[in-house]
Amino acid sequence: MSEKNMEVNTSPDGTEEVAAEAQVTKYMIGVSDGLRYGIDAEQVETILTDHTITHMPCVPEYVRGIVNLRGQIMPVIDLRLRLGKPPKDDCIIMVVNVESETISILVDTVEKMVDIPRSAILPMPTQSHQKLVSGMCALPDGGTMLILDCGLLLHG
Amino acid sequence: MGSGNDSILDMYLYETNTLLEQLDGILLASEQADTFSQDSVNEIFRIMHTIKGSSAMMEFNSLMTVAHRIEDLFFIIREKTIDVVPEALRPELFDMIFQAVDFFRGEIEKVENGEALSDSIDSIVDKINSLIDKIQGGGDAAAESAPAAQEPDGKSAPAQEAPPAPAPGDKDYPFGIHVFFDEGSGMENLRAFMLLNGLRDFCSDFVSFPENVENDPSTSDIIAEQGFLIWFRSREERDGGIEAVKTAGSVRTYQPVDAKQAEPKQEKSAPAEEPPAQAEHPAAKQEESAPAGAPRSAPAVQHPKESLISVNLSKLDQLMAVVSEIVITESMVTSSPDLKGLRLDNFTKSARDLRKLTDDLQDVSMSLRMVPVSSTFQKMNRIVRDMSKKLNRPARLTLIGEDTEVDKTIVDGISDPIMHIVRNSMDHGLEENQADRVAAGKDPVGEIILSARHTGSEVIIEIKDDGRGADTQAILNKAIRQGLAYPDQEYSPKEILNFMMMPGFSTNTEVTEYSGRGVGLDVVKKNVAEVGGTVSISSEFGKGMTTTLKIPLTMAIMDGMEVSVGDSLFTIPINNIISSMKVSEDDIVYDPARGEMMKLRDNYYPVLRAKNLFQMMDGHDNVGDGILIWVEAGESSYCLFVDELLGEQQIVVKPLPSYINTFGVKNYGITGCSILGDGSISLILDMANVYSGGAQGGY
Repeated sequence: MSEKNMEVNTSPDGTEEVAAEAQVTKYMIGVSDGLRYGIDAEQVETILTDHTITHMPCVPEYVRGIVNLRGQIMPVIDLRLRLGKPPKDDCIIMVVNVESETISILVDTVEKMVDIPRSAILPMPTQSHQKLVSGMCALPDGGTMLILDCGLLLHG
Repeated sequence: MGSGNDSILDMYLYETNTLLEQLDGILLASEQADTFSQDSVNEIFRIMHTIKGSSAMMEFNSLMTVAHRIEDLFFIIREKTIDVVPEALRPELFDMIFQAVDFFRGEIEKVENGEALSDSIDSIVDKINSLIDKIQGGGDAAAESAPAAQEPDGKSAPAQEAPPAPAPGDKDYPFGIHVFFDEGSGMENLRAFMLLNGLRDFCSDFVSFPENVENDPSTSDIIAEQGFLIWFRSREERDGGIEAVKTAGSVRTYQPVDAKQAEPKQEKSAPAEEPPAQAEHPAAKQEESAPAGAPRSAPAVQHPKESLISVNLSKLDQLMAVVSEIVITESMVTSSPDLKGLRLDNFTKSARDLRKLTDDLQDVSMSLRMVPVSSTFQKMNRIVRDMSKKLNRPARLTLIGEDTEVDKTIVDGISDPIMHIVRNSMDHGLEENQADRVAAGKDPVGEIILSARHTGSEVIIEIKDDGRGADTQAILNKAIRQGLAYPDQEYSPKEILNFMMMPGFSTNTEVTEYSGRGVGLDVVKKNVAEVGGTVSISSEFGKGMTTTLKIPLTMAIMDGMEVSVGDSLFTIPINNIISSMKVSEDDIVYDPARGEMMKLRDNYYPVLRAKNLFQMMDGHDNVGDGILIWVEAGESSYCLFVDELLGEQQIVVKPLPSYINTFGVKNYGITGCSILGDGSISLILDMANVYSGGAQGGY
């Protein structure tokens, strides 16, 4: 994905278009408990539908365990439990690269990809108490997308 | 670009470190003989020469200058043999070189850490200069001093064999190569010099123009403008030379010229013969891409090394990971449930062959990571030497089993602990004055024995001194003072010695240069535990002390017992297990706090239930349904209750994701995981931490 970006930046078409291009970010929308969360598509490595999660003791409940993806061991974070929602059984795993670590996030379903101009992203209202969403925006088909900050997910 | 530079730097560091290690070895051996053999002198000269050259390439000026001066010094010694140095000066000479080695090490460390190099090299340079003066003052200085000091490039063949300054196209040297270096590469004279050095592997009889490139920086401009000319006696030699030029670094273009031709025209366009990648680092590249000519740098001095290449450790890690995947995948394929009930003679036969090959592959890739402990051991020679001088306690170090091989990561991990223990032995172990030793009936020269040996899956490293040993009473008193021990409790000698490995315990109240900073054996213990090993101390008062490190051969593969609790799988290291047994509820004894215990061989051992320990939903509660595993780890011995034993298996250890480790699962005894044949994950338990974690949790 980052290679693509490079191409845009180095294209000879002039700086204006580059600037315009750079301001659009692709997001992949995952749904969890009725809310739509956008994850920067460049961070998403793959999506797994059917995978055995190995339970991991001695960690918070929202860490559902670890999975083995072609020999790579990754932690699984249940977004519902992380946000204090009741858990659900059949889930989809989004494998995400954050800060050179690979984690997987458990969501209800994955919806689609959207292009969002940077200018359309609005800050969260300051009185909001949640800690994982860094911004929000309206989607073209109506509805709202919350932008999930995976780095916060890792450190929070 | 960045990665390109890094690889040059990596090569530089690797090469320089190797050379320094080699130098240390030579110096120690020479010091013992109290003289330098002609071979050693040549060797040191060559090492300094290489360090100087490559440091100049990297523009590490401090390193270059010091190496240059030492090279000068050894040039003199080489020319006039070691006899030129009077006996009285020799200790000074040795000290100076040792100091210089330390200086190089320090600078290299700075380079490694990305710090700026030191500018204040005057003191060390002055020392070398004064030594040179003294030596020359002592010898028949008049005749030799000027050329010797001014012309360190005594190696250059023409200086000895050829007429002084053959003009380009001298009739004895009719076959030339005209070399141009990369524009703006800087320090052309040194590049030319390195090129000549490389050429010397092919033939020694050639002349260059301009000559004296190494000492005369002004030649740099001439080379940059007019190129660099090398003249050979024969066409064959020139052809060999062209090969060397091809592999040398920073060469933009070159062309053969014949003597008839006067100054050749400048060739501007860069021919394709020189791949850009090769223009990186002559020393490094020659090692790799020109095996025909003996490489000029590190390996040149030890010929068996020529068949060695250096590989980045991360690549070996990668290889190891892929191989483990292959092993797992292979067993997934051959034991696939789809094949059940089918009669597949050919398949079975091929599968058997495949298994054998994958086993071999695994062995080979494992062995790639194994290195002898000798380099770590050799370093200790130096420490003993330095401390013995400083503390004025004569001591010798005996090394046993240096060629014992251990995984590279582990060797790195135990180097510091061993150093620490050796220092301790020198500082606290050996008697302060020789009279005490003589009075105790010992050899006045103290002895430290460093030994390594294999025992199955472990390596035992012992550091043994014949010093005064540990005074258990003093240790106990100190432990009580530090609040580590209770005054009214009885301790066995072994327990008392273990206090020494507790954080914050240091027997010496004085802080010396070498030890006694309050960090002590606890750090050793921690470092060794990090590579999966254990430390134990034994000592007899007055006779000495032995510290034993038990280190696994490799951290990557281990023998484990697979057990299940509910639907979770755990791996217990096989060497922790004493036995396993089926028991009934009636065999369990309770303490007042409802803690469970089991009587085994006249002793009571606590019973821990894995299910409670790891707060799991599933798993047997009834003791009769599951199985009890009696384990021993470090100081603790206990029984772990699990559902089922699944069998023994060799497993590949994988680290847990760092995100998981942030929750401190290691403290509960979960150290890693492993992927089993069917793709499921088993958690590897560290039985010592399982116990301490369980004790915290109150199970």
